[in-house]
Amino acid sequence: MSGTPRTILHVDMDAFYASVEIRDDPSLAGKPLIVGGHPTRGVVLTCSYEARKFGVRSAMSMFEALQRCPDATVVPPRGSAYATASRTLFDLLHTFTPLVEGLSLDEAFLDVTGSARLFGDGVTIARQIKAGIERATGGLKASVGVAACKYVAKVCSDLRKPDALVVCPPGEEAAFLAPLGVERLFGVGPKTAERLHARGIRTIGDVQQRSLEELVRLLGEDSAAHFHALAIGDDDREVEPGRDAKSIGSESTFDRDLVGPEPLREPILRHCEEVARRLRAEGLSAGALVLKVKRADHSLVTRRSVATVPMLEARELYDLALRLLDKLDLRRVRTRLVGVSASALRPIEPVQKELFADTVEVKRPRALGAVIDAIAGKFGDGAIRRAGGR
Amino acid sequence: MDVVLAKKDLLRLFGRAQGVADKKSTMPILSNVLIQAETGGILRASATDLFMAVTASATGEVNRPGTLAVPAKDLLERVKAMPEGPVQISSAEGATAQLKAVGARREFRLRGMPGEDFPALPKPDPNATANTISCPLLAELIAKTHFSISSDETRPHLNSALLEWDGEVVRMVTTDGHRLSKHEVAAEGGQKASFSLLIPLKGIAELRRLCDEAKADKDASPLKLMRGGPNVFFVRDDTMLAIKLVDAQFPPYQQVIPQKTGSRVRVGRAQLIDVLRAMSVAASERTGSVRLTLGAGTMRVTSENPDSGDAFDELPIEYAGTEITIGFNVRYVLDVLTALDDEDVQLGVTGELDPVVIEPGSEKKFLAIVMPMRI
Repeated sequence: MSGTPRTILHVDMDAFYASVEIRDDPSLAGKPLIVGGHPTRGVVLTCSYEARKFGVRSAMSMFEALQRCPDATVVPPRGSAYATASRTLFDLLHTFTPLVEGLSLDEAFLDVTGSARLFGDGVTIARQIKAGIERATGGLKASVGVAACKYVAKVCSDLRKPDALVVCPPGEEAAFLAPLGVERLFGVGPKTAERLHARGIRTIGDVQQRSLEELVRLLGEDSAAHFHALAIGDDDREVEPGRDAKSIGSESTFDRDLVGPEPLREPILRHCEEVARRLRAEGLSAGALVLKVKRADHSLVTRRSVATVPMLEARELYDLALRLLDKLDLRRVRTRLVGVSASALRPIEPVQKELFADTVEVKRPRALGAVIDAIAGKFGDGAIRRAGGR
Repeated sequence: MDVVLAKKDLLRLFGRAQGVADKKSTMPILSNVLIQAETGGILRASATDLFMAVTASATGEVNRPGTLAVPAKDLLERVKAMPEGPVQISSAEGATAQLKAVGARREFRLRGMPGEDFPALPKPDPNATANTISCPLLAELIAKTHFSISSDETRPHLNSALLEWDGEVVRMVTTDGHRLSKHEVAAEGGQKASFSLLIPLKGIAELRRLCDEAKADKDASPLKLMRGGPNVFFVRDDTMLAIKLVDAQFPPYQQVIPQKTGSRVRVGRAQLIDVLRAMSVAASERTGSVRLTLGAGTMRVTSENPDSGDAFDELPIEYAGTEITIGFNVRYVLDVLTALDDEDVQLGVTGELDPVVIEPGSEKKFLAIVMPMRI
């Protein structure tokens, strides 16, 4: 961090889909409400705060949600209503600064450092935004976090939801974060949390106390440096406007380097499952996939591929990821990290099902590939190749 | 060649041929109609695109037999421009056709090609057994199934209709891979046969035209159906249509017809058409999807377009199963419903991603399957 502190806002709508439903049908107010409910794929897209009291969470299976809260009213999502409210929200945010980075339909970062002369300081702008949203959307509420970096702003907005306005003054990040659990560190999942807890590291303050060396031993180089910086509120990521079409990714650094492509399949599958879960939770499908591989020497390769039909199942992501993996020549290469990320995200569109699952023409490309392999196996690689391209 | 025929007969002959002639072929001769004048007063007009061939004939006055190939579209335009009454067609030097109005001064000269250059036309095997089917029956088979033929010419096995003669049953089945329709009729006069023909979409369109003409002519004589080599021949009166069969495997359609469906819904056909048409207005243009929610006694139908808005309606149904929501391409369902004329239809539903069977409320000659959309 250098120079004058930035003013970053994180705006996050409160139980967005559920609030839109309650706004449009006030009889639902005050009751546990779940939006979602596809009978088999059924996951909770979002739920009202009343439902959250029963332990219902986004992305939870509908089955589990209804066990926890059998009296909940379940309504199917109405994409067009949310899209309309989302447009209203972003139109409003753009009146304060062009530096708006949308994270989803109902969540955005704003850099209002340059807006102070026009609109006042961060807190003043945050108040105007909260009031403006409520007015423009017919009563929807948002929580806003104000800080000098993205990470802390996001922690702030999440701290006292709903209808919250939390500020972390610049320079006070470390003290502000110290009492919070390590789970609040961006990137700490259940497994890492467990590992930290085992060493008596429960709060972000505990992380601040430990030396970087100790964290490296515990978490590996990359993660240690990342968490060490975050713990004191050091996050110099810029607010990137136009990044509305975000991506959803998942990656992991291995405890020990893996050799060759084969052992990478299992972690890739896990990441695809994680990405698919988050896609479903956001009601999105992916048009493209990026595979990221970091070698032991820290050199990074990424490969991107575009899907013919939007993907939303882990299997679809995994198939594409494996094709990308095949393209990378990783024989005998030591790999320290793999990740997949889905991009070209769009709201899920209905997909027409096929009547004949295994029709002749579907099989043909694979059958051809098998024949080519067989011939090449017998007569050598140059014996047969496709007429177009090498 | 020198013939005289009534203008109306020429219009019929050349009109038929013009529909089949291939205007876009790299072989210029295929855009021509072959005129053959034979002793005995018969004039034949033929055209082919190498996949289909049509020959129609009419009687007139043949002064000098002979053949000539003439651009089909140009010839038809000139005949249309002739005054009513007899028209004389003769060949002049340089493969030129000379058209003269008999009893008037109007005449056209139109350059053609020698008749000998025209490709040989397929003929039925002289020993082939002929089956017969009346035009209304064939028209019925086509009307109830043609809409689910795939328009994708790169998938010939779906870009065609399966015509099966199965004992005393004649059946037509079509599918585009997302839906399927099947209609059966009883063979007339107790004819028995066993064969199946894969007729390309273009051939089906031509057969429809043939049946429409028979209807317009109030011609009740049946069509003769013969096979010969890779072709099937349909003969009506003095018109013969040869269609090259598709050399591909029709999908194993019996396998995808559910033997049993979970629950049945009975619904008024006209009412459902009305609701679906209304809901389709608000459906996304890209996907055309609507959601049908079946509940006790009520079907709720919704559609939405994330960019513009949504729609809702409901209608009474007979249904006793558990509540289920299924997404469809609204056009697929409407195609089936509008091809039927029964008062009620039955939907057989299993799961939200399983094939849905649509049958008429009473008679079971027809069956359609529509695959849902994953919503």
